[in-house]
Amino acid sequence: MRRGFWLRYLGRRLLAAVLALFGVAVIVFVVTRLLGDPVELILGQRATPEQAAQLRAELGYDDPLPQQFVRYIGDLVQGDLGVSNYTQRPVTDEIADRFPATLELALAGMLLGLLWTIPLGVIAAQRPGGWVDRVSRAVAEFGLAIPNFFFGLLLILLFAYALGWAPAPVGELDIGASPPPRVTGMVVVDALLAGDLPTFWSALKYLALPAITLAVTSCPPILALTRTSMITALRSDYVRSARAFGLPPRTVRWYALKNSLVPVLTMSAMTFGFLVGNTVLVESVFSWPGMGLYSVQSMQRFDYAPVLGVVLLGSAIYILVYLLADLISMAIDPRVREGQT
Amino acid sequence: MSAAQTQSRSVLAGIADDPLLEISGLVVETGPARRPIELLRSIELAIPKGARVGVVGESGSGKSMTASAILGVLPNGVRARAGTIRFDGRDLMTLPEREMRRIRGGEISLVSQNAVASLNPLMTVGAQIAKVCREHTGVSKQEAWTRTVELLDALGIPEPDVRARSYPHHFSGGMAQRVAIAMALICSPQLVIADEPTTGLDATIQAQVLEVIDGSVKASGAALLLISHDLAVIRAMCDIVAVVYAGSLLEYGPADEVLNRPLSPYTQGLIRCMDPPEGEIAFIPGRIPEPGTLGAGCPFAERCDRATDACRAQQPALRQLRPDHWVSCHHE
Ligand SMILES: Nc1ncnc2c1ncn2[C@@H]1O[C@H](COP(=O)(O)OP(=O)(O)O)[C@@H](O)[C@H]1O
Ligand SMILES: [Mg+2]
Repeated sequence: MRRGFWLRYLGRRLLAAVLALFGVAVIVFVVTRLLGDPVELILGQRATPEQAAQLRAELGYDDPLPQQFVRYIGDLVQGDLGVSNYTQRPVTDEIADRFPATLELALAGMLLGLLWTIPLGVIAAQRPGGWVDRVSRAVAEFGLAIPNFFFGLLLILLFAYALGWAPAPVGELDIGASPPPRVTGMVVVDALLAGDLPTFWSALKYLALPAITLAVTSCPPILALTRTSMITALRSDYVRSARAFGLPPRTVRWYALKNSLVPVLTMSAMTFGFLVGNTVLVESVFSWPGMGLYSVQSMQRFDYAPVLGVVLLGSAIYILVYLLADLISMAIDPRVREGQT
Repeated sequence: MSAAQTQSRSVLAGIADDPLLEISGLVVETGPARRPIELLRSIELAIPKGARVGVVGESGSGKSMTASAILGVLPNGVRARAGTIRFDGRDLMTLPEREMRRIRGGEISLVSQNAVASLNPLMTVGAQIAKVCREHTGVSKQEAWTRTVELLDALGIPEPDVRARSYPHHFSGGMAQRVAIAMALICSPQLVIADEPTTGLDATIQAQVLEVIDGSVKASGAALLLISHDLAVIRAMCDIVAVVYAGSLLEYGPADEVLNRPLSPYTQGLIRCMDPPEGEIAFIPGRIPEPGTLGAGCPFAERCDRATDACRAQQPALRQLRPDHWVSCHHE
């Protein structure tokens, strides 16, 4: 029963994911076509109508919308996201160049975020109203209130310029430094894979401030939820009963933690989506060579193909992270598992 | 009664030569240390070895708090200020936490009211019972599991090896209560505390669960502390009855004594409520006082139709008026 159950579940979820992505493709396609005429933007105001018509025909914008859509989806399933009108390069290539940097930053930010919020939430819940609780709440409120780019700038001023502990915000590596051989595209990981420790350390230093910025400004909701669900769990009958049966404090805490984890996981998945959105601004503050600037510029240029590509990729990541969170929840909680049959 | 007798270390000394559990002068309080609120004012209790003691009293009178105090698992912010809890020759109030942990679940165990909620929803019931078994006996996983399944079987759970692998939310109230009883019995404790074990169950299921408790306690030779606000349950199950009210023990004695010849007006009221005269609905007017609102007088004075100025001025001492039968009342 078990293997069949998981396979069927995964199949169902992946099918749903494909449908969702298709929906996203439809929406973005329609919206971008409604927004404005790219031909004018490409050629400039002074182009003659003949030139414009010729370009429009070349790019296929003369065809009826459904036909354009079918062509687009047909290319998409073959892994072809089209060509950028601006750079004339395939969008897949452009995304492949930039995406790993964004992913690296987002993953590092999320990891740091989980590392500070979950343990603090758990500790705060032991003594609600105690000093750990009050301090962590103050930090969380600060992180939530301060705009992320502003916090990034503060970190740069303090740690890069005043204290000199971190490098100036010029990207992923020292200017002119040669990046490690490209495997994943994530510099920190690639340096480690190549066994190049000096580059690894240097890349980590560059990664630190933007990742901290994301961790502090995006993750406070995880802290709040961990705290509340942990308090609820610690007051529950099963925790009281576990204590009354002489189970060691370690075991009792683990019971409570495991029970609070399911809502925290869902919240973490949501937060990750939020955090990926935040990287756009943080990337520009730290000159991070990721997707942030690319998506904004493509939008401004009415460059349809990259915009569609970026939105689809973002949605796919979001769906994937949600699926991951759901899978872990199901592994933890039999009631979630049974809700899925 | 002589003053010497009422002031002996344990007021109830004499009910048994060497009681298994003996609580005396237990005061449990909450709130700030400067202005504490007393939840238990003066709880006395004795449980002879192998006896079945029923604790009866309205909701909020401190029955569950007494159970928590015995096990040393008072809620956060609640503390025991005075008194002794002697169990099998040890004072549980001063016992180091490590030793206390061996007693919990191993020598004294608890069956609580809401069995489903008292089980960890993320673990199969068998795994939870086996875990308690291993924690206290150190037997192998295999052995703990075998014992668990055997016990579930003995407690009347059909297909015990299958049910042991189910999660708590798959159990009905009555079946879950059997699971909770199994967890309480797996280490063969000397004392089982059952805190309202049948409250919230259907009448027929209630009778079944009481029978399971009755049978299993008899078979294991453990003593039973049965807590209930329902005098009928206590009457059916117990040989000693303790009546508590607003954190104080009002009456204590053999069940047939206390139930047939009650001394305290409160006990008399409770019995009338259980068996009202033909065509009447009996009740005790008023309600139990909130903790912290009591003065120095008898806690029941406010609702007692025999209350006098003396009752309101001073809480009566617990006195032995008949063989093995104690009461706290100025009128007797
Ligand atoms: N965690 C707590 N903190 C403070 N007061 C409590 C707490 N739990 C219970 N109480 C109070 O202690 C008194 C006794 O409660 P309890 O022992 O649960 O009564 P019973 O089990 O007899 O119904 C009640 O007045 C209740 O309000
Ligand atoms: Mg209670």
